[in-house]
Amino acid sequence: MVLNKIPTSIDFVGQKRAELLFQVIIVISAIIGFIYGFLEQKFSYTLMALGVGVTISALAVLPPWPAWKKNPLKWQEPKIESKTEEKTKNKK
Amino acid sequence: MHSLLSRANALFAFTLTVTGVLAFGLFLTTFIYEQNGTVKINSAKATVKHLTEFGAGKKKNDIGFFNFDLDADFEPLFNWNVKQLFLYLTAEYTTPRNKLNEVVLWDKIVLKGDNYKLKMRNAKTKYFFWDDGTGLKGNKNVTLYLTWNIIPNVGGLPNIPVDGAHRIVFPDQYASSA
Repeated sequence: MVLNKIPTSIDFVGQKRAELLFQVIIVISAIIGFIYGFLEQKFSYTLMALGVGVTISALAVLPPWPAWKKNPLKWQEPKIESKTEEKTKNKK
Repeated sequence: MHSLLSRANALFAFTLTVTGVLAFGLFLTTFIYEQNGTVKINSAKATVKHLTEFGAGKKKNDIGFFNFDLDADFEPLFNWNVKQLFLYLTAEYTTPRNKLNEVVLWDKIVLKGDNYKLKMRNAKTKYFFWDDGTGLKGNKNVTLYLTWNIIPNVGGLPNIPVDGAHRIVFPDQYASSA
């Protein structure tokens, strides 16, 4: 798959923020859409407003923007294990 | 959330939840709207005949004929949770055989965006008004009333009898033909 070749991952802090962001955007657009649809007496307007919110949050959250990659994990440096291997060999 | 697809999945699942909540909110708003109403029904030229009802044996039964007028305005009913209305005109009467007879004589579907004002003059009934015996001849108290069945986007489908019933008086003699 093409997706496997492009790095799309974001880091853990980015995940948390991205999730909060799309939840806030969608809930706000749903509330605005509900009020607008109620005033216009058309529920389709409510769903359209929700669709706009979903589109905005999809653009903000789905691509791996640099903003979601500011806190990469710090892995431990790889140990050089050549000496220990030699020691175990000597014991045998 | 870590990969693109899991982020898309999280977004989609949350959107579905919010859509469900919105639909429930829509259902809750139905309670603030008035669902009753008034119509004007009038009728003329009520006659009754005694005919063989084909498809129901060879027995002869009473059949009633009349033309009716109907005035109604459905605009107040169409709030944002109403897709369509199903209207039906029922004749209700008592015979010695049955305590309660209900016969549907006419119906109509009103879609959202249709002409909401109904003004029918001298209309024929859509369905035959058969009695299951001789209960129509000389029946002075046949009540004609309209019921609307509200079909919403979300919620129940209430059948609401509408104010404005009309009484039909059938003559004591069968009409000449047959």
